[in-house]
Amino acid sequence: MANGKNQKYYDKPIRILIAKPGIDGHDRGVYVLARAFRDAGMEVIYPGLLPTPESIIETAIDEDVDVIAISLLNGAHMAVFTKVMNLLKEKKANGIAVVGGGIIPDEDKSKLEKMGVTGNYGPGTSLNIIIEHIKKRAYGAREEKWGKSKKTK
Amino acid sequence: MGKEQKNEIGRVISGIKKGDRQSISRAITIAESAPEMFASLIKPLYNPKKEARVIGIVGPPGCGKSSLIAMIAPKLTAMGNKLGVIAIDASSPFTGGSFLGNRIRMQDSLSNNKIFMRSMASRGAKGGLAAAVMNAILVLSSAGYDYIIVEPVGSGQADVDILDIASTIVLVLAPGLGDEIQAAKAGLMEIGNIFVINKVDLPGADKAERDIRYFISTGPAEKRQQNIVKTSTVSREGIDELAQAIIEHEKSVDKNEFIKYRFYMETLRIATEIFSEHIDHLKKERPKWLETSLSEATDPYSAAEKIIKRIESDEKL
Amino acid sequence: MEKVNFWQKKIDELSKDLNHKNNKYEHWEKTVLKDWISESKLKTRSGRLTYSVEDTAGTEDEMPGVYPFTRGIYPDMYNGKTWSMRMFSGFGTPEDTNTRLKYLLQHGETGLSIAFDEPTLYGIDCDDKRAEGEVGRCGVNVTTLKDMEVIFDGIPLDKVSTSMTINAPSIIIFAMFIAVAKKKGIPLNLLTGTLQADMLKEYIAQKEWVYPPEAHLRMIRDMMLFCTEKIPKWNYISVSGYHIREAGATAAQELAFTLADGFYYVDMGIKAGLKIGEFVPRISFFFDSSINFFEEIAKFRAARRIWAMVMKEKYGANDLRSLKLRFHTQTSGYTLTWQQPLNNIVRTTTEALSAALGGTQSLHTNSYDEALALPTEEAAKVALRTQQIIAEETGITDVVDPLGGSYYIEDLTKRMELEAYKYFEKIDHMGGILQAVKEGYPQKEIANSSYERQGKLETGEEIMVGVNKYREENEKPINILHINRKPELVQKKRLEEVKKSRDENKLKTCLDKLRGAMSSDNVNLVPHVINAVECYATISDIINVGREVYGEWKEPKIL
Repeated sequence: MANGKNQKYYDKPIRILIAKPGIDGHDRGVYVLARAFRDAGMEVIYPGLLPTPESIIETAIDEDVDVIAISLLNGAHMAVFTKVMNLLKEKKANGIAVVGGGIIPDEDKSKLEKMGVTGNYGPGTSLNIIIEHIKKRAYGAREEKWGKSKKTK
Repeated sequence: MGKEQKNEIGRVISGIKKGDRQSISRAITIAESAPEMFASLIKPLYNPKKEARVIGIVGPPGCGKSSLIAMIAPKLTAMGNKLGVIAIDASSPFTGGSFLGNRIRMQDSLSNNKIFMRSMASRGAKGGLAAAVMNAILVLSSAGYDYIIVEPVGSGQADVDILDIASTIVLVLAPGLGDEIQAAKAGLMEIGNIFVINKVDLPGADKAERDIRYFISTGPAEKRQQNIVKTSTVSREGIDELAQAIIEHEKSVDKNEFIKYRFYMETLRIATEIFSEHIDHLKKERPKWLETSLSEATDPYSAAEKIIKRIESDEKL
Repeated sequence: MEKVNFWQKKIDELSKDLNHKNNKYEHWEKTVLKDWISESKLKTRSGRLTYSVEDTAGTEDEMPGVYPFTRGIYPDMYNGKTWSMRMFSGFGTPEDTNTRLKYLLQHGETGLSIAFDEPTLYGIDCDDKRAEGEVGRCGVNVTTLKDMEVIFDGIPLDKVSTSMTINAPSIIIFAMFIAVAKKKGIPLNLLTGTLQADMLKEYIAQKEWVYPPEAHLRMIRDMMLFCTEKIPKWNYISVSGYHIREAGATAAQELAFTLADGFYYVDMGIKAGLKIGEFVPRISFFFDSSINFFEEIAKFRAARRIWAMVMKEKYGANDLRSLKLRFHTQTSGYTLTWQQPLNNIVRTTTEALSAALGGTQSLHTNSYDEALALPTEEAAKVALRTQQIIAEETGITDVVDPLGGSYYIEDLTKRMELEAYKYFEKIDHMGGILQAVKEGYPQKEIANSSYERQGKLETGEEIMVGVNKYREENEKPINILHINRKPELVQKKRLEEVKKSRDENKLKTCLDKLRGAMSSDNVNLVPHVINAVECYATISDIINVGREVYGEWKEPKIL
C-alpha cells in the first residue's frame, strides 16, 4: 500500500459515516456494520449515540464523507430521515450519498428513495449486498465531488 | 490535471477565503488523497502570518485523550480563538480500512464550540503521522484557525514525529496500565512539555505521579521543571489547570522561531516527497535513458549520480 | 481476595463434575454409533450426539421448591398458579394505551406491562425539538403525571400487578405511578408490580442513560430503600438479561452478565445498610427466551441454581425468599423475521415453551408482526392465545419441572453454570462489573458475539428460515400498525394545558429542593421526585436538574 502519498482520489478508501439520527440507543447493528465496512477497506466514522440531525450533517461535511449510512428501528424514519435530507440540501453539501436501513415498511421505501435515501435494508440483509450498494453510491458521490475519471467504477 | 479538477480547486480556494466550511473540508480531502492537486491549492492560499499554533496530545490508547480534548476545547475557544482538531487512528494493514471513533467522546463539545474536527486514518504511513496531517494544518491555518490539536495514533514510537509540527506537546498517561514504562521506552517522556495523569479518580494515581517524577528526574536537566497536571474527566479536576498550562506554554514558545522551524521541516518533507515520487516513477517506467545509463555505468554509485544529475537538470524523466 | 477463591472453588467443582467418565456414552459410541455413521458426518453444536444417566450425576437430590431451586422455586409451580401472562404494551397517546391495556385484560392477560416511547425513555419532553416524529412511535408517551393518570384510568392498581419498562428516568415514572395510586386512594403497601430500573444493563446493552453510572445507581438505591420500607410488594428492580441477549450476547453471556449485575445490586443494598432478607426477595430478573430450545431451558435452571448457591454460600443468606430467583421472560425479538411473518408465530411458540419448561414466573410473547412494527390488536391477541394454549392444552403445567432428570438438560445446566462462574471470576479480576462496564468489557464481548453470529448467517452455518434458506420473492405485505403524528399533537396540547394550570412557583421550589437533595448522597430522592411530579413537573424538568448536578455520560470505545 502506498506510503500515504500518491493515492489518487478515486483509489482512496471510501469514507462512510454511520449514524442513528433519532432517539434510539440500539447499536448492535452499528458495530456489526462498522466492522464489516472496515474489513471491506472503508474508513468508518461513528460519532456515538443520539446525534442530532444537525450534528450528523456537520460531521458529514467536516469529515467529507462519501456516504452517510442512517438507520432507525423506532418507527420514526420518515420524519427523521426527511429532516436529514432537508439539512443536507440546506447546507448545499455536494458529493455525499445517503443510504438507509432499519425497520422500514415497504411502502415507505419508495418514498425514501424519492428523497434520495436508497437501500433501506432491513434486518437479515446480507452484508455483501449492503457493501456493494454502498460502493456504488460512494463512487457516484465521488464523481459529483471530483468529476468523472476513467478509474471510477 | 483535468479541467474539472482545476475548477474544483478554484471553487475550494474561493470557498476557503469566504470561510465556507465545506471548502475547508474538501481542501483537507485533497491534502489527504490528491496530493498532486494540493500544491496548486495551497500556493495561492498560504500566508506565513496565518500559521496556526499546533498542540500535540499524545499518549497510549485508553488514557482518555479524546475526553480531555473535549473538555479543554472550550477554554481554548473562549477568547474567540478558532480551534481545529485532527485525530488519527490506525488503518488495518490487511484491509486498508479503519474505524475512526474519536468523535464519540467529543461530539457535543465540537457542536457546542463550533470546532472543526477531522478524523484521519494513518493509511500505512510509516511515521505515525500521515503526510496529510501537515497539509491539513496548512489548510486550517490559511482558513484562519488559531489552534489545532493533533491527536496521533497512540502507538508511542511513531509519535516522535509530532515534534516537527507541535510547539506544545502534552503527554497523557492513566494510572495502573504500566504506561509510564511503555512511554519511557518509546521516548515519549523526553518530548512532553506537559505531563498529564488522567483518571486520577482511579487507584494508582499517586504511584503514577511518583513514577513520572522519577523518570523526569533522571532525564535531561532542562526538562526537570516539567509541569505535571492531574486530571479527571469525571470530576473535572485539573481541566482548567491543563488548559491554562497549555496556554502558558504556548506563550513561552517563540512562535516565529517555531513556525520557521516547522516551515523548514515541511519544506524538506515536501522536497523528499517530490524526489521520491521521481524515483517511484523511474521504478515503474524504466525509461530508455535509464537503461542506457545502467548498462554504461561502472558501479551503482556512479549510476545513481547520473540519475541525480538528470533530475536536477529538469530534463524529462 | 476471598471473593476470587469463591468463584475459583466453584469453577473447580463444576469442572471436575463435568469431566467425569461417561462409560455408557463411550461404550455406545464405540459399539453402536461408529458402525452407523462415519465420524465426519457427526455435526452437533454440543460436541456429543446424546447424553446418558451419568450426565445427571449430582442432581439426584434436587426437588422443586427445595434449595438450590434448579427445578423451580415453588413446590407446585404452575399447578398452583400459572405464570403471569403479561403482554408488553404501549403506543401513541395515553388514551390509546389505556384502551389496549383494557383490551388485553378483557382477553385474559393477568398482568400489565407498559412500554414507553423513546422520548420518555430518555427523559425528553414531547414538545422538545428532538422528539419530533418520535412521540408515541414505539411506546406510550409520558411527559407529565397527567399522562400516567390517563394510562391507568379505570384500572384497579390494587388488584392487578403492573410492570413498567423504564430505566434512565425510572425514578420519575415510578414517582408518577405512586402519585396516581395516591390519587386513587390505594395504600402503597397494596401495590404490586415491577420497575425495570436496571441501569447496569443499559450501559452494557440498551444504552438508555443520561448521567454517569454512579448517579443512576444512587437512584436505584433510593428506590430500593423506599420500597423496602413503604411498598413491600413491589419489585423495585428487574435485573435484565433480555437486552444483553438481544444486543448479541450468547446465552452464557446473558446469564453471566445479568447475574453479575444482580450481585452488584445485592452489594449495593448491603452497603446501604439493609439486611439481605429485607431487600433481596424483591430483586427480580428478566430473561430472554431465544430459539435454541434446550439451551434456554438449561439457562433458566442454571440461573436459579447459581443465585441460590451464591446467596447462601457467599452472602450467607438463610431465608428462602432471598435464595429464590424470580423472573419474567420475553421471547426473543431478534429471532423474528420480516420475511414470511407468520413463521414468527411458530418461533414465539417454541420460545414460550422454553420459558414455561424453564419455570418462568411471568411471560411476554412477541407478536408475529413485530419485525415490521408495533403489534396490531389482532397479532397481540394471537401472542396471548399462544400462552393460553400452552398453559391450558399441552399438559406441561400438570407436572413440575417435567424435564428434570433429562440427561441432556442436566448436563447443559451444569455447563452453563460453569461458563457463568468463569465470567464472574474474570469480572472480579477487572475490579467488578461496574469497572468492567466503564472499560467496555461486556460491550466488547457482545460486539464480538454479534459479529460472529452475523458471519455464521452469511456463510449459512446458521440458518434463519425465510432469510438465508427457504426464501420467497415478492411476498404479499401484511397489515401492520401505523402510528402517525396525531399522538404528538395530542400530547403537545395536553402538555400546554398542564403547563398553564400548574403552579410555577411551587414547582420551582420542588425542583430546587430536588437539586439540593441530589447534591447530597445521604438523602432519599424518591419523596422529592414525588413532590415534583405532583406539581406536574415534566420529565425533562426533573431530568435536567440531574444533568446540572451529575453531568452526562459518553460510552467508552468498543471497536
